[in-house]
Amino acid sequence: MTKQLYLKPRSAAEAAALLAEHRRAVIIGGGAYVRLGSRRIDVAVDLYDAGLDYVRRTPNGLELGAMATFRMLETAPELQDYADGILVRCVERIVGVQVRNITTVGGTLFGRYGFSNLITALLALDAEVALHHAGRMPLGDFLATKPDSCDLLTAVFLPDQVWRASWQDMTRTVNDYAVLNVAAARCGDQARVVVGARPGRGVRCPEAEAALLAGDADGAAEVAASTLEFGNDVRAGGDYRRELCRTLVARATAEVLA
Amino acid sequence: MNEVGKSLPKIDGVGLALGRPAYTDDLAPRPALVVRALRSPHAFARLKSIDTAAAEAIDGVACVLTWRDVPRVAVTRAGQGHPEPSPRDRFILDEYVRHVGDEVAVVAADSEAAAVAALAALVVDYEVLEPVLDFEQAEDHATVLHSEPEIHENFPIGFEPTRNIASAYAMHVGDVDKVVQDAEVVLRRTYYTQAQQHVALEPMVCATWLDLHGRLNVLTSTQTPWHVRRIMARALEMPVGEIRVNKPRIGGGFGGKQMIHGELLCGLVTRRTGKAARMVYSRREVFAATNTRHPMRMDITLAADRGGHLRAIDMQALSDTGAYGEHALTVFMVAGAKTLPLYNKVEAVRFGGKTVYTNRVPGGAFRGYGAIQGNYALESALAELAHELDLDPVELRRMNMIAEGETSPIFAIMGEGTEGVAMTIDSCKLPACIDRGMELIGWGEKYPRREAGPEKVRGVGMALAMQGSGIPGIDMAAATLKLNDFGSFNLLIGATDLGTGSDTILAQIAAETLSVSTDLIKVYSSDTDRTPFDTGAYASSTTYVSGHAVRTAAQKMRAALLTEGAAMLGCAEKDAVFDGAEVRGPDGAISLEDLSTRLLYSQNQKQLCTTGSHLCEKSPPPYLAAFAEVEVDLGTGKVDLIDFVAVVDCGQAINPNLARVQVEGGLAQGIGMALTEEVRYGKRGTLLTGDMMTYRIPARQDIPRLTVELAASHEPSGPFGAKSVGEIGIDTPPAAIANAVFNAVGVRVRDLPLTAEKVLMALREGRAK
Amino acid sequence: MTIVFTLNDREVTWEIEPTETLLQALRRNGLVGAKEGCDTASCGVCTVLLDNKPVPSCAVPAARVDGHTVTTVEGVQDQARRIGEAMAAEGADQCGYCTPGLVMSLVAMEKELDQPDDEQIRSYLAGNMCRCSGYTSQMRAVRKYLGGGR
Ligand SMILES: Cc1cc2nc3c(=O)[nH]c(=O)nc-3n(C[C@H](O)[C@H](O)[C@H](O)COP(=O)(O)OP(=O)(O)OC[C@H]3O[C@@H](n4cnc5c(N)ncnc54)[C@H](O)[C@@H]3O)c2cc1C
Ligand code: FES
Ligand code: FES
Repeated sequence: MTKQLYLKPRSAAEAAALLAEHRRAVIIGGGAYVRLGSRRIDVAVDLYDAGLDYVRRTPNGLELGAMATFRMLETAPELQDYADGILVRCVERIVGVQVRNITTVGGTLFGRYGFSNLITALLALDAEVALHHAGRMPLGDFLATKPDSCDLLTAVFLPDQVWRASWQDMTRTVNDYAVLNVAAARCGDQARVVVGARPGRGVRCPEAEAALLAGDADGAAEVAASTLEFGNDVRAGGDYRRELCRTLVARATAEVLA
Repeated sequence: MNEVGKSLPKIDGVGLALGRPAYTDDLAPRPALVVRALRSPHAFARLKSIDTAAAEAIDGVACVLTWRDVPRVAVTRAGQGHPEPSPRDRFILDEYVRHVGDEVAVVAADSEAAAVAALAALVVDYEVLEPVLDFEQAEDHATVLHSEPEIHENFPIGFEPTRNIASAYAMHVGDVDKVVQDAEVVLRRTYYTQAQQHVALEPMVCATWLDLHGRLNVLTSTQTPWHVRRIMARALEMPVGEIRVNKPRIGGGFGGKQMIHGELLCGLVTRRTGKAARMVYSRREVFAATNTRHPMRMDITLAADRGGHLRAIDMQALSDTGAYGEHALTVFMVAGAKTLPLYNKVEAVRFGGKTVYTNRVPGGAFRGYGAIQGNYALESALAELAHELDLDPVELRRMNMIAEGETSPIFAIMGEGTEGVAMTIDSCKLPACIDRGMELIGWGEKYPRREAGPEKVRGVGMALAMQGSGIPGIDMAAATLKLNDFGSFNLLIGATDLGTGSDTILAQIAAETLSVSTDLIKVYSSDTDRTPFDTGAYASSTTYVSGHAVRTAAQKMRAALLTEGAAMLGCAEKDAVFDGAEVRGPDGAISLEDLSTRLLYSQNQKQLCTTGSHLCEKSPPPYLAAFAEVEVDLGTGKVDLIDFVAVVDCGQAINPNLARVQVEGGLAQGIGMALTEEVRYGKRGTLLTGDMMTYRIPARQDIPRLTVELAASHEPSGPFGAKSVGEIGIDTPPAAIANAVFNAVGVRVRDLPLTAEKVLMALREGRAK
Repeated sequence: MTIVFTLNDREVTWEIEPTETLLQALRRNGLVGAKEGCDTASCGVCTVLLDNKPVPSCAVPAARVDGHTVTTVEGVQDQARRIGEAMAAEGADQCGYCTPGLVMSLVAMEKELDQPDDEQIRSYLAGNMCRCSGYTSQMRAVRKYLGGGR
């Protein structure tokens, strides 16, 4: 057995250097999911002290550091009204305050989890991510690429837009993973309808977005339910998810239109 | 009464809040070998070979055990009295593994890391066999789970392992078929209940070591120290007297810790190595390798006249005991025995069926113990009958339910595993419970439904329940009181406090009997070496049975104090009185403090020590009337609980706060079973709900409101009028909530849990029709 | 590896394994107030404060706390006693396994929220599961503690 290393860089640059040095290093964000995995970790690069735990306003919108925790999103004054507060709504019921104090924006996006509430919400708000090597790109593009475990996600950017938005999800118990989650948003001639936890990852539904722009909530619901893919997992079956999609997209789009 | 009937704080509450060492893992000796089990990835397999060489070669590994290294003695891990009504169908380790999670081998090492490495180094060659996963196909399936020649039943329980039948049972009173044939109304329904997991927040934990004398000491998170000792002795082939079992505080049990878990493995490791050992189940192991509630199919037939008078009930059940037959027969019987007597006016009643083996996590004891399964079926069917007859479901219950001074022939016919004991009901406050419950929920205004906003409908539903108080003729408990100098007492009890507060209420009973304050009673419990016997904490027995023993011990102590006090005062015993503070005679008094101190140090020196023991003679049922209000979301099918009202007749509550919390806690678990909790398996028998992220117990917001009241009641046969209260809370939520959902949206889901998915799909089907 | 951190107001130096969780390290060092319940950050019985915020210590690597501040129930005994008494007065403490974790969340909640209503309390404590009590009595106790405890 090789000796295991636990490293705590003091900046993003230092973290990137450590990752370059240790090709098999594993980044620790919140650590909640790294811990759940059973893989053996020889070198851990923990970003806790890297200064990435912030939510701030920039000239072009908002910036969420990779180490911003869900609890920070929930309590940040900048996010209470941004997009009708859906970034608060989408995380505020996840497990409990304890877990939200450790789970991070970076870990969630990098993990590309199908169930993720945050991914669904951020997709609806045209978020962009910044990677240390690959640079800045739309979140959707990032999710479509294969994860490069040596790159470092440093921040998420939200455009300076006034979104009308709605968050809808359905859980079995109040703080369970979503059986389905939906975010809808509209700003001028831009509309977004994103459905996640299908159980596959959040995806946009352009047909539903067109219906939303046309002011047709029921149409958006119908088309989202009929065009998106739904599957089974331990939480629910695909047929139910389809029905749920109809309801939640109708509610989300109606709220945006209201 | 001064001490009984008071909501005294639980005696261990503050210490536990402070985080003081109290639970098994807090107190287990260190250093100790870390014991870990290799668990089967297959639902059914034969272990063709296990190569342990690599594991044994790892630094720090103290021993590796496989089925070839353990005594070949058939046992049951059920943790019941002797001889057990469950089949002895298990070995410490066996050549076959019968469910995903079953134990393949055991390693013990100096460190966690070495133990994990050793597990990974074991090379097992499995011959994977075709599993039985559907309990409705299990009987006479081509696959037979148990063909070991050593396994057996202790007395006839219908055990037919070659047919995958763990137990069978049938009873009847009157001619059900004939009554059904003649009846004006007949309702036939089938209901399914699911496997539920206890999810006590403390997992199974035990530690073993050899003491100075070479005796095996066992510290374990158990509900049944004496059964653990007896079964360990049998399995490890050692005399009972060479084992000491001690239960410290436990972090919840709910029946899950009636069974024996790591004790056999850990004990064997200590026997083999001579070293202290410690086994802590991970949460995944708790899910995969302990026990669940037995899932059941219940076929119910009700016969009645148009006016709603029940004439016959037929309940035929099929129960799934998983890979091993723990509590197979007894849980099954309770499904009928603790539900059918509620409606004692029928002309005929029949109950029967089988418990079968499947390659799933074994069934076991779980609060409610069959009664919750039976209750869900019977109380749902009654609601369906009321609906057909266009009767208020409350009226239907009132017309048919048992009353004070009445009996049911079922009491004599059905016990737990054996025949029962005839009894007359001396306390039954159901009428008052129902009236009060209706008032608290607002039945008059709310039944059956109200609109509650766009796409939201609220409905109310109800159910009644009964349980028992101990197992008559079987449950036995004892208590010893010892007088200390300066007037305090040690109360030594076998009873097992699982966090229910029984140490506190038993102290209250002793204090009340002695007329002293409860803080003078110093409780020490559940230690097979140092306290008297108790069958354990199950079957709702502690207050009723152990409470009696304590009361007897205290009465004897009271008499002894009078004798000794009178002697010191130089008066006749009949002229002396004891008021808790002093023994007073015609010409003077001596304080308890003084008397006790003199007795040990200076005058008539002796130790006063009294013991009471009690055998449970009858099992008076507590009763409960439950009313649920739910809100159903028509767009998602989600059922939100708005309020759950339960009014309980548990006799005189010894400690009303603790009694109420017992009910509230039971309700919450029953609500979990009703709505979200479900053990689920994949196609090949893998567990899909093996952690707390997939198996969901209710969180705080899921249970916004529970309204529990205790009805004024007094059970003449109970200590200070008490009956039991530990289990009954769990019984009603499945039926009451199912009935409320039906009343709200007209959807009748007959298989638990009532997930949003089932409700919505049923709603959509209804609309499509 | 060696870590130096502030534990219950005292600086300590511990030898830990790089793979250990904070919960494992705490218990190994005799601080058994935090307990293991689920091992998947789902139950809250391992709650401690890291830099004054409640976290599930089963999901925090011990190495992370190097240079930081950890508070366990052993470090807030006065509050724990008052909360324990409020719980006992309501009969809300059953097996007690969840109580130290609940104490830690309450201690944090008191600092974070001003005069929370029931809904806010429930939501703040949502991560603290209890299988025994049905939560209702705990809520009674929490209200009592918040009302009279300050
Ligand atoms: C009990 C529990 C319940 C949950 N319930 C929900 C829920 O209901 N809904 C929901 O949406 N989510 C839920 N989550 C998931 C949670 O929200 C997070 O998405 C998850 O924990 C991952 O975040 P983390 O910060 O812990 O990431 P980590 O575990 O630290 O990391 C996850 C992955 O990302 C990598 N990584 C981390 N940070 C970076 C970075 N900056 N750059 C590059 N790679 C990185 C890691 O190496 C790892 O591969 C739950 C989590 C838990 C533990
Ligand atoms: S043990 Fe950490 S949250 Fe359950
Ligand atoms: S009191 Fe037992 S888990 Fe809360």
